[in-house]
Amino acid sequence: MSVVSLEAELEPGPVGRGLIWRRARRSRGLLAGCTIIGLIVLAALLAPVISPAPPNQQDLYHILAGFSAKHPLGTDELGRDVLSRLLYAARTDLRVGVLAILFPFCFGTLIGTLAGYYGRFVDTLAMRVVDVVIAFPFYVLVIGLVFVIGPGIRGIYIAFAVADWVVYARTVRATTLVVRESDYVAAARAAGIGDLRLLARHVLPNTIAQAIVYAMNDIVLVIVAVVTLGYLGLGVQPPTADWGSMIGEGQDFLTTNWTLATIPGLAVVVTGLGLSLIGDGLANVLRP
Amino acid sequence: MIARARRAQRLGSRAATGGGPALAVAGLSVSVLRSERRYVAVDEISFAVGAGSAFGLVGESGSGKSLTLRALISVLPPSARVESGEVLLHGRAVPHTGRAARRARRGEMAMIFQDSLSALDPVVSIGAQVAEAPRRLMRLSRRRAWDRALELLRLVGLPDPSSTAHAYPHQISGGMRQRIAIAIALSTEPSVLLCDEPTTALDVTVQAQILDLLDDLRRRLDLAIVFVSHDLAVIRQLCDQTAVMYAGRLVETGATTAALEQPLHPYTRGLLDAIVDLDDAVGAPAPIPGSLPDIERLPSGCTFHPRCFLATEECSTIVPELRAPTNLPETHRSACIHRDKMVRQ
Amino acid sequence: MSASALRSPAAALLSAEEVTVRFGSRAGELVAVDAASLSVQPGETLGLVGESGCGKSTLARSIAGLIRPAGGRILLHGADVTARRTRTQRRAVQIVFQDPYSSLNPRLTVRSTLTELLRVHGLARGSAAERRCRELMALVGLPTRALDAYPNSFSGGQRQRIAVARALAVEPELLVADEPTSALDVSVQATILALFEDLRSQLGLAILMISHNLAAIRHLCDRIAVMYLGRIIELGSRDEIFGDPRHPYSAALLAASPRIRSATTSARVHLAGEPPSPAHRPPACHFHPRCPRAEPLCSVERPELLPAAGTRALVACHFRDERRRP
Repeated sequence: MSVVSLEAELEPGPVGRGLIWRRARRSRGLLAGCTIIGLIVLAALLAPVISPAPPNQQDLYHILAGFSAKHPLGTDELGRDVLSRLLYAARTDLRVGVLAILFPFCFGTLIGTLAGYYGRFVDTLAMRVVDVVIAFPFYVLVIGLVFVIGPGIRGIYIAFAVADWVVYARTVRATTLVVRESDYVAAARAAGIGDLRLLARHVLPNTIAQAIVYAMNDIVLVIVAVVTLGYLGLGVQPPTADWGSMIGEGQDFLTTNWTLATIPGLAVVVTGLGLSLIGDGLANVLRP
Repeated sequence: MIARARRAQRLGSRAATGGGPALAVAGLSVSVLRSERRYVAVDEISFAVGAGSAFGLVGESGSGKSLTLRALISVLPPSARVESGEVLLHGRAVPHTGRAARRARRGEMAMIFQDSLSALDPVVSIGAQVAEAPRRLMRLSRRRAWDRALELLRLVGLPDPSSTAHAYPHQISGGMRQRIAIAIALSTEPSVLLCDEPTTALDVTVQAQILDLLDDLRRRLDLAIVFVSHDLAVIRQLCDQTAVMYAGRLVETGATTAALEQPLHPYTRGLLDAIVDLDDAVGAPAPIPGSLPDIERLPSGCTFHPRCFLATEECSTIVPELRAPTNLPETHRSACIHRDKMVRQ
Repeated sequence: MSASALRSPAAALLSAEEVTVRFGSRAGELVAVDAASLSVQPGETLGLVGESGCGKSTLARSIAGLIRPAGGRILLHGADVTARRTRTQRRAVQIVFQDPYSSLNPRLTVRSTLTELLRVHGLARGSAAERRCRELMALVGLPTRALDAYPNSFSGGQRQRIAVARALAVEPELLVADEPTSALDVSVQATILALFEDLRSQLGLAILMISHNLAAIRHLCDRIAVMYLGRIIELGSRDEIFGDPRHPYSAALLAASPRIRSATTSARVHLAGEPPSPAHRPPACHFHPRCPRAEPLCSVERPELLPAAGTRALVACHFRDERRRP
C-alpha cells in the first residue's frame, strides 16, 4: 500500500460541473445570446403590462400613423398599435417556436439513439424512413401539410412534427455510433449494466449535446417558417398578431410606411441572432 | 548544373566549419500561450551534435522535448514562439522564423515523426512524394527524380522499390511507411536528421529494424541525428550522447552509457528505478513520488525538488546549473546541487 | 489438444477452449483469433503478449464478455458463458482498458460511476455504498475527495486508477487489463504496475494482462501466452518463456526488445519483414515466411500447441525441442 498511496494531489482545477459553468460564464457569445433572448422573453412576458394598447383594438380614425407618444411605433392599416402587436407577436412566435420543436427533438433523438445503438434492422428501417422524409424539400413538405390540415397553429405543429424530426435522428445517430464504440460503454456492458440504463446514463448524456445545439438553431428555423407561412397567409390566423403576418400585411405599404414591414422583420432577425449565439455558445461549452 | 553547384556550396560550407558540430543549440528558450498567458516550456537549453553522431533527448510528456525539435526545424505551432537562444548549423546561426529560416534549413535539416501515416499525403503515390524534393529543390528532370526516388527507397531497405513507388500510403504497412518517411527526409540530402519518437507506434520487431536502419544511415551518410523519445532503452540502442529533460530544462547530459549506468541526477535515477527492463531482476518497479508539474505551476528553484529524494532547503530557491561534479570531466553533467552525492555511491 | 486439459478443469477460474473470433466485412472474413485455448487459475497472473494483429485484445475482450466468439467455449468455473452471461456471472470478469482518456464516462462523477454498479448488482445502497466507495478509493490510492470529481479533473495515471476502482466495485475474480500502461508516462507506469501487485497480494485477484511490453509482463506475470496472427504459439511459465523460449518468434521478440543496459549488437538476428495483416495469413504455420528456422514442412503442416522436451511449456512449432540461442 505504501507505494500506491504516494500518489499525487488532485488537479486543483474546477471539478467537473464547475467546469461547464466556468466555460459558460466566459463565453461571450453565449452571454450575448442569453441577454438578447432574455430581453425578448421578458418583453413578451410583460406585453400585457407595457403595451400602450390592446393589440387587436382597431382605431380606424388613426390608421398608418407615424411615431407618437401614444403609439411609439405608429399604427398599422387598421389603426392597431404596432408596438403592442410586436410584443404580443413575440409571445406567439416564441411559444410556437419552442413547442413546435419539442416533438421533433424528442422523437428524433429517440429514433436516432435506437438506430445508432442497435444497428442492423432497426437502423436500416429508421434510416430508410428518414431518407423518404428528407427527400421532400423542407418547405414544400411543411407548406403542403399545412395546406392540407388547414392553416393555423395546429397545422404548424403537426407539419413540423412530421418534417423536422429527421435531422435530429441523423445527428444523434451519428454521435451514438461513435459513443457506442467507446471504452466506457464497453466497460458498462462488461459490468452487467442493462441496455436501458446504459442508453439513459452512458449514451444519451454524451450524444445529446449536439441535438441541443441544433435545437437552438431549429427554433430560429421554426420562427422563420412560421413567419413565412404567415406571410403566405397559412400561418397564424388573423387577428392574432405574429411577426410573419405583420410583415405580410405591411408589404403593401413599403413605399409609404416602410416601418410596418421592417420592424417585425428586424424582430425576427434579432431573435434569430440571439438564438444562434446561444447555439454556438452551447456548442463550445458542452464539448467534452 | 545549378543543383550541382548548390550541393558543392553546401558541402563546402560544411567542410568550412572543420571539426565543429553539425548542429549546435545555445540557450534556446520557447514559450507557449495558455489561457492568454505565456509560459516557458523550454528553458535555455544548450547542446551540440557532431556529424555521424546520434544525440538522444529523453523526457516524459510536458518535458518540452518535442517542442525543442520543432523549434530547431522551425515548425512551431502558432501558440509557441522562440524567446531566446541560437541554433547553429555548421557553426552558422540560422533565423528562427520566416522564409529565411526555411531557406537556411533546406537541404540541411529534415525531420521524421511518430505518425507516419499522417506525415504522408494520402492521394499522391509514394514515388512522387519521395521524388518531390529532388524535382523541386534539386531541379532534376522527372525521370532523374524518379530514379533518385527509387535509389532512396532502396537505401532505406525497401525490398521492391519500383512497386512500392507506385503504391499509395494506405496500402503500405506501418514499418514500411516509416521507412518511406525516412526516405523523404533524406531526399533533400540533409546533414541533420531530427526524429520525434519515430518508433513509439511500431511493433517491437519493426522498431528494431528501424533503429538498425537509422544507425546504418548515420554511419554511411555521416548524419547528425537528434532522437527524441520517452523510452530509455530505445535511446540506449541508437544514441551515443544523451540529454535528460524535465519540465523544460536539461537535467543531465553525457555519454549514454554514463548517464544510464551512473546517473548524476535524481530524476534520471528515479526514471531508471521506475522503468521495468528485461535485464532487471524480477520485482515491482519503484515509482517516482509526486507527478509531473504543469507548466503553469512550476515549482521554484529546481523544478524537480518536490519529488526528489535528495532535496534540501536550498533546492527550492536555487536553479542549479548544468555542471560536472567536482574534479570530474565536463563530459557528464548534471543540473543538481547535490551532484557530488550522486557520483558512484 | 487444448491447454486447459493439462490443468484440472475444475480448478480453473476461467478457461478458453478453442476460441475463434471472426470479423466479417464486404471484403471477406477476417479471423482475429484462431482456436486459442488458455486457462487462468484463481489468483494467478497470466500475460498475453504479441504484436499488432495477433488478436490478443480481441481474445481478452471475448473473455471479458464483450465479443461473442464464433467458435469454441469460454468456461467460468466450469459454467459455459460463451453465448450469454447472467448479471452475477458478469461480475466475475472485469476489464481495464488502454486509453484512460476515453474509458470513463465524462458526464458522471466518480461516485456516480461506482454507486451505479453497486446499485445494479444489489451490493450496497445509501451509506453502505458511500463506505464502499471510500474503500475503493483507498484501495487504488486516491483521496476520498476524488469521488466528487469528474474524469476530466484527473491525469492519465489517476484515471487508470479510477478505471481499476470501477472494475473492483463489483468484486471480480479476474481482472483483464488491456495494455493498461501503454498510454501513460514512463514514471506513471510503475505506479499502475505496483497497484496491480498490491491488488494481487491483498485481494487474491487473478489478472489477465495484455501488453506488448515484455518487461512489464515479466515483472507481473506467472505464466505467459505468446500470440501471433490469432494463434497462441507458446504458453509457459515466466522462467520458461524468458529463459528458454522455444518458438522462434518468442525468441525473436525477446531479442528485438531493447534493454537499458545493453545495446543490441548486429549479432542478434532481427526479424525481416513485418507481421502480415490478419486478412492474409500464410498457410500452415503463419510465421514461416519470417522464420529463421523455417523448413518446407512449415508451409505444409500446421504445428500444434504441444509440450516440448525438457520444459513444461507448450509450443506450436515443429522444432519445439530445440533450444534457441539467447
